Amino acid sequence: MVQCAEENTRGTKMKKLLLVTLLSLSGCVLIDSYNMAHFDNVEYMQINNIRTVANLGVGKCGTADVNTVVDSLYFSSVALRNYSSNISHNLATAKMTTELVVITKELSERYNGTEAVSTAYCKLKFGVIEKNAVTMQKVIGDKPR
Amino acid sequence: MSTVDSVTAEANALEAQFTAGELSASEYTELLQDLQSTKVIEAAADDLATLTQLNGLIKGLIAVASAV
Repeated sequence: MVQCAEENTRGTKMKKLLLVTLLSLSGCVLIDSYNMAHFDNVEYMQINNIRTVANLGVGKCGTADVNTVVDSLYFSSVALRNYSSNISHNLATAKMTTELVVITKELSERYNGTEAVSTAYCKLKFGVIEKNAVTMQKVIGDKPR
Repeated sequence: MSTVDSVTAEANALEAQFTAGELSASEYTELLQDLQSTKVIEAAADDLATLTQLNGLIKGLIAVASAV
């Protein structure tokens, strides 16, 4: 009898704690976080690919081979944006991938344009892409399983 | 280093390369705009990290409440 009463008290306390926690959060944030898109192998693989290509591609700056790397980076970032933006409750990831496309598109347009591209620009741009890919990979990898 | 300080340091480094003639004017402008894009990505990454933490908290609380 006493044990049952203690368990009931503990259960009531837990329910109160849950209620207080839930009420202290805004409704939208609560729903967004509960429903958020879970970890996705394909999304993670794609951002890892972009990070790796940017990491290794910087060595090609100043050579003719860099054009292939630039095209690959642009293609991969557009593919990731298209993939992530149509997953439900995936707004933050879609926002990041959309911005990454802005960065890689500029790079692609410059290499497919008529003006000469400096090696310094190439190295800095690859650095920007890699830095952002690392930021994105960490949070994409941490998504709930 | 604060966010403002780190952006200022990066912008100063770009300006030095531009002044040294290593970057063209359009390349310099584009790389400055990339600093803004990087901040957008970092802000969205922070949002995602917060949602992930809340998701864990809510699921943990639900698990505890259902076990009692």
